[in-house]
Amino acid sequence: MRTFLKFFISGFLLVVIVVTAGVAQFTEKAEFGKFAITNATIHTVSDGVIEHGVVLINGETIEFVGKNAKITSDYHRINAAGKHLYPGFMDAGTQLGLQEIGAVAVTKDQAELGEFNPHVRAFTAINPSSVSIPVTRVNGVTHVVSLPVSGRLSGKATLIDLYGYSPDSMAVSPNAALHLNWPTAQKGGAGDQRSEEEVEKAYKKNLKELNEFWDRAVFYDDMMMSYEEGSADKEAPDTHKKLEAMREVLSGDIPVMISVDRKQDILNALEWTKKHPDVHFILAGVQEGWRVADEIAEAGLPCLVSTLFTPERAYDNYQRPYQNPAELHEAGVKVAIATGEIENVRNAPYHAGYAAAYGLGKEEALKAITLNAAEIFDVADRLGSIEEGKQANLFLSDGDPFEPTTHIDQVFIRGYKIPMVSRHSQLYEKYLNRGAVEH
Amino acid sequence: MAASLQGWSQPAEAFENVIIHTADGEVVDGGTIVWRDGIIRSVGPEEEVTIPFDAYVRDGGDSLHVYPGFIDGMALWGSPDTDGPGGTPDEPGNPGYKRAGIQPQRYPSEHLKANDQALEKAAEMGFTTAALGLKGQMLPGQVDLFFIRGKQTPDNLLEEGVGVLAQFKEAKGPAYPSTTMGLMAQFRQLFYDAEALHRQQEYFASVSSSYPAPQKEKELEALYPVMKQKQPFFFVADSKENIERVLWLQDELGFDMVLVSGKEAYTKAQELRRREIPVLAGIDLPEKPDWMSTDDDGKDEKDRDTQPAEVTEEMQHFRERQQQAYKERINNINTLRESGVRVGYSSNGFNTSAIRKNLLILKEESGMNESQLLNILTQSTADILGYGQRLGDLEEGRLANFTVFDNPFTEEKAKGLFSVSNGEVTELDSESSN
Repeated sequence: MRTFLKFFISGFLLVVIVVTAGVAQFTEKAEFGKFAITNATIHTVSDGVIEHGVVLINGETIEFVGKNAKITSDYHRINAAGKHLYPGFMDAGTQLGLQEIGAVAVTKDQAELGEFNPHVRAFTAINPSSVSIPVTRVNGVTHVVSLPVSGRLSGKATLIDLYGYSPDSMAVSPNAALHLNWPTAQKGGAGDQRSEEEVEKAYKKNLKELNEFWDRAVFYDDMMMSYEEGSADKEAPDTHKKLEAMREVLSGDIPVMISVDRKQDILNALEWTKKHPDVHFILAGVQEGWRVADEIAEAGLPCLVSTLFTPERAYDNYQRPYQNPAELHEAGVKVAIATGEIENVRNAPYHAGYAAAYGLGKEEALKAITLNAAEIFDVADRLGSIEEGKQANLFLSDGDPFEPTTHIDQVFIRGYKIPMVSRHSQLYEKYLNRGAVEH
Repeated sequence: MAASLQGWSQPAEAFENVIIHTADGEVVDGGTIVWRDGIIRSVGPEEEVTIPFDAYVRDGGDSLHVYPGFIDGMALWGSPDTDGPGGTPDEPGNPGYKRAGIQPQRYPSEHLKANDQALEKAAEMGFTTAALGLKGQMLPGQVDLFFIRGKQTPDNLLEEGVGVLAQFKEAKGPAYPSTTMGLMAQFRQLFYDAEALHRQQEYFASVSSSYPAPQKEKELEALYPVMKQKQPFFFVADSKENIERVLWLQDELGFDMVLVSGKEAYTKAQELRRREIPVLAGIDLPEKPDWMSTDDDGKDEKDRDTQPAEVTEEMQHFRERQQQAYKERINNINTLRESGVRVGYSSNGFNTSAIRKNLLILKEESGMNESQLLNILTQSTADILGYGQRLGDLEEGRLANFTVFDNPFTEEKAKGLFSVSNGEVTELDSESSN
């Protein structure tokens, strides 16, 4: 009897522990294998819309996209009659996985101290168990760029799928871009008590420091290349973590994402980028981009934009943030959606929705949150559209995903059929089932 | 170097297309200087110097002047100020060592104030090395040799205790020694006490029992190396009389010494040479009498009107005496040099900003040319500090200590642009440091 009790108690405890842990994250496993999605309205992005189409997923890859396919019995069939199939949405600028709770310092990993940290990699800090990841993906956002944010050169942003048990298993581009916070030459608003001269002086100082660091990096790269070209009499130079980290940037292998918002700052940044013709640049934020859209277009730099922010100038029309993507697009700039959010990355589709409604149009807005973003980060061969051979990041919805009332029915990430469960749905269920008389 | 790269053991660095001035007065136009790990690896005309593949090169555009880093043989930059008078001690005639200003055991390296503006200013003026002392009374402490790098100076100690600072400064307030005779007696007493303590300690160490343990007195122990002539006194004395007093003490107590400041050292030039006492001379020059500057500088008529219309014979006699005294003081360094005394430079509390002005006066009025002045500020001071092979000149194998100016350093408008100290480059930005 005693033994039985012991077993009973320990068994009970085990169940309690497992259930508690499970509730925090998953209640079911993702399925993997072969899926046939039939009768769907397929929004390929790259090749128009296919009504009553079929998409076959085999492993991680989209195997077939089209109208008619022979579906063998080993495919798990999903009848998507009346549903829409979209490529997974990409948020091109977030801090997802780097911060859990803003008010709890130990859960914040996106801001290292120091001005120049190109060697700091967001990829190494991603928390695959972040509660915000399932919350985000069940709304159709399947991959994101997550970036460090502090200092002048904050570090390397990473592009990840929103499914996996480790950063390695989530990796799309571990080092997706170097994040540069452009030094502002503008006053910081009402709280900024500095005189115009002080602001100017601070800008010059910050720019000088940036240029000095950059010059050193160029020197280091040249020196290392000279050494690597080989010669017996050359002694191996000491490696320097920060400067070493700049090499893949200087060679153009990964882009520099410049966070810059205001008109004059954008113009200053454009001027600066011209001095570095071998480096690839992306502008991010770009809140007053519409004021200098032609100049940005002429410089040929893509822009990562959101639509939910307060205009910089009190006299600006409230619609400006919503119109910004459209005006940039119209001038010839390639735009992609980047919310800059953490737990609200799930709202990325509505940023695109606003852009669509305020001049960008649905088609372009859809591109802005899929293919454009993939192209900007040089992963369009794998992501961004529903095409054969691409990675199976896609989702089924019962309507237009830019509308908040639309439901996302099923998400696939890298071929995995994702359980449509999140902290939000769990809380919803929990409180929905609460007995009326219980406390 | 960019601040964020500090701590990187960086590869070589170089300046090219610069005008290089060596301590012996040689000038190389279109020169190149290469340094690595804090050591000058190569210096000379462009065609004779190979810049290695891993050198970070700055271009001087054929207009920048590179001088060996100036060395201050005894400066008080970064020293905390002394305490106030401190009230009347219980026994004013026996106030204790600290109250009397006897603290030879203090090291500047333990007391230096990193944020002293003088350390920044010194780098701008061209100083890359300095022996630093502490402010105080008769024995304020040791003299430590530092690379001068603004706020980072305290972290750049080259050698501790290159000397022990001594001066004829009475204790503050009502405490012994408060007179010159008291000071003289106290110097003697300290040496006797130090010697006695030393003997006691040696005896105590040599026996196993039956001898009381000598009392530990760190002030006296700090004087042992001076007593044994292993460390010199850096003795500050200006007047002829005080210099004589130092020489008496040297005769009696038998220490090695360097004379610091020595405004009237020219009066003892022969004696200093005979004793082989080097002088770290100050350039705190006397004010030029009004009537001299008016004549020389050709001030406008209005100023002339303030001069007496007629110069009486008595006044003329006075003026001649005044002129002679002024010239002797201005010629102090030159007289010492010509007498065969080794002369270096020491600021000893002199305002760093006024250095250039006074160097100009020396150049114009003492008959010393730019290269002689440069030599005193560099190689000659390095020799006196025992660093003649490592500091003081621009040649292969020396420590990379130099300053890049936009004009020759004796020109009033000359501005330091880069200070290189122990191989580390600091870009001098006088605008932001002000």
